[in-house]
Amino acid sequence: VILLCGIPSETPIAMVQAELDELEAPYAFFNQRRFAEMDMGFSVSEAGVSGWLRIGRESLRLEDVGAVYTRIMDDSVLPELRGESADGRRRLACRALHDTLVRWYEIAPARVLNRSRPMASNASKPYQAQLIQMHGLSVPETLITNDPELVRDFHARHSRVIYKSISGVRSIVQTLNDSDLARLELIRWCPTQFQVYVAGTNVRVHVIGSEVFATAVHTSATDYRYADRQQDGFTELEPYALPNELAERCVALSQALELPFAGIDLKISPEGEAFCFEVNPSPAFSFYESQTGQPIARAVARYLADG
Amino acid sequence: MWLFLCEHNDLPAVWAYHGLRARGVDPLELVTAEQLAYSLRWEHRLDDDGVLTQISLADGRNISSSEIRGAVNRLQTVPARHLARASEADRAYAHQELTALILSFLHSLPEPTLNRPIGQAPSGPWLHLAEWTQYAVEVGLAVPTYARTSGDLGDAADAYAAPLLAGLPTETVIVVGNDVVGRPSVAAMVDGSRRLAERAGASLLGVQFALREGEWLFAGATPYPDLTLGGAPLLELLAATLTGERSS
Repeated sequence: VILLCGIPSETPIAMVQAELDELEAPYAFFNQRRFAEMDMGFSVSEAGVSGWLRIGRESLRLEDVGAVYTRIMDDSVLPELRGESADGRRRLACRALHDTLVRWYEIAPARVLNRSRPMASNASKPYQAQLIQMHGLSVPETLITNDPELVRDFHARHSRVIYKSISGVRSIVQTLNDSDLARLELIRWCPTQFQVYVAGTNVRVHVIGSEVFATAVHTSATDYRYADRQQDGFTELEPYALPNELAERCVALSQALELPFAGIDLKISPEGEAFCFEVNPSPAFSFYESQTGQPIARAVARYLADG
Repeated sequence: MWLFLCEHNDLPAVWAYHGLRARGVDPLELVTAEQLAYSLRWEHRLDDDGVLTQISLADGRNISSSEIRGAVNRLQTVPARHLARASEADRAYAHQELTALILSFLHSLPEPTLNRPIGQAPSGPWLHLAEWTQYAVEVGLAVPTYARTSGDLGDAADAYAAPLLAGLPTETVIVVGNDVVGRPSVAAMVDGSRRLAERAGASLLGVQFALREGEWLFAGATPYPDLTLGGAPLLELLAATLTGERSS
């Protein structure tokens, strides 16, 4: 049986659920919003990992779970806990349930998309960039500093420079412009990441096991996710034919990072060189599938069903 | 230059720092989490040639990655008291950014480095007891059953450091690379500990065993062992590892 974990109305997990229905693959849903109807337990011994999950009146043997797809949201902000104090019993029970779930699927002998610990490499972009480099993909020249003078020098040496967050905190990628240069002293309080702008085509590569879906993103914006905030901004997506050798490197990278499901952000330069910006460990693939019709959810469902 | 990175109250680290210097690991710079987090200047570059880092500490010392020959890394936290005057949102953001930068710096340290970051843990595998127990099973160590349910609320459910089998006689061995310091009662504990460290990706690991009904069982593991337990043999081994006489 497959275990889906998250909130059923969230688009990616809803799309996978629909595909599992199509495949007639058996699944159970760990619906976070119904935490009060669930409990679970597990044990680890020389005999293996075993346990149980109760969802309402149904009970599931964890040994029977062959695959897990997790889109777990921060349980502390569930609407059902609104008004509950930090040490309220329902809040603690909800936390303990989620923690038990994560502790179990970190070690469960099942296909898990994705386990938490490998996902953490995305919490530091330059740390992940070093891992990306180790696996044969180029990364843009990067400077992280709290010294304005170094940034001015970096900017003077390169025709276009962008800046963005160092951590996994989502930030809008911005081009460093004159008004930014005028307030550079502010970085003394917080080291900031600057990168050489790479011209070319944005390509999002979704890897699921050994399957690869590449999507070209044509955009007017520095950060295509926010093109609609610009006047006359546009973003157009289309399937992209990734060279076999590059597709193989993407699969190898996702395997090396222990992320069987990964969203790899590439930029293919006009000279054909592939630069990798980051590997997203919990890709919201629905945006790409809805624009291109690429059957990503079907591939995720198949991967889970084969577990 | 070698680095010894630790928390300001990590007394076993300070003991080991002095012991390593006395054994010729010099210059060896002791840098606390606070000193690193409160650095005056950071320059961290990443390009096709690798990573270059220059750090100016507030006490006047400069750390240049090109001069670092190895490190003992026992950092556990990234302090943020210097951000106290920022708004809550800015403070949280800046703290995450600084943490991400320090993770990248730590990962870039040259061999031998004991230990490197794994995921968000700055210095090696910081695992939950459930994971340690599973790893111990995988490498063939005898384990007590680990069990939990979602009814276990609060601290008891958040077991990272608390050993299993509390209250029983214990023995601890410390793994450094391929070597093990300590004289456990059962030889299998040596090989098992070495395999456990390899499985977890640790080049420095303390492994604790507890005696229950005549059998030594795995009780817990930490990348931050009490180094004083290893005594002079551990210092000799750490010195040999840092200077390249032993492999990490």
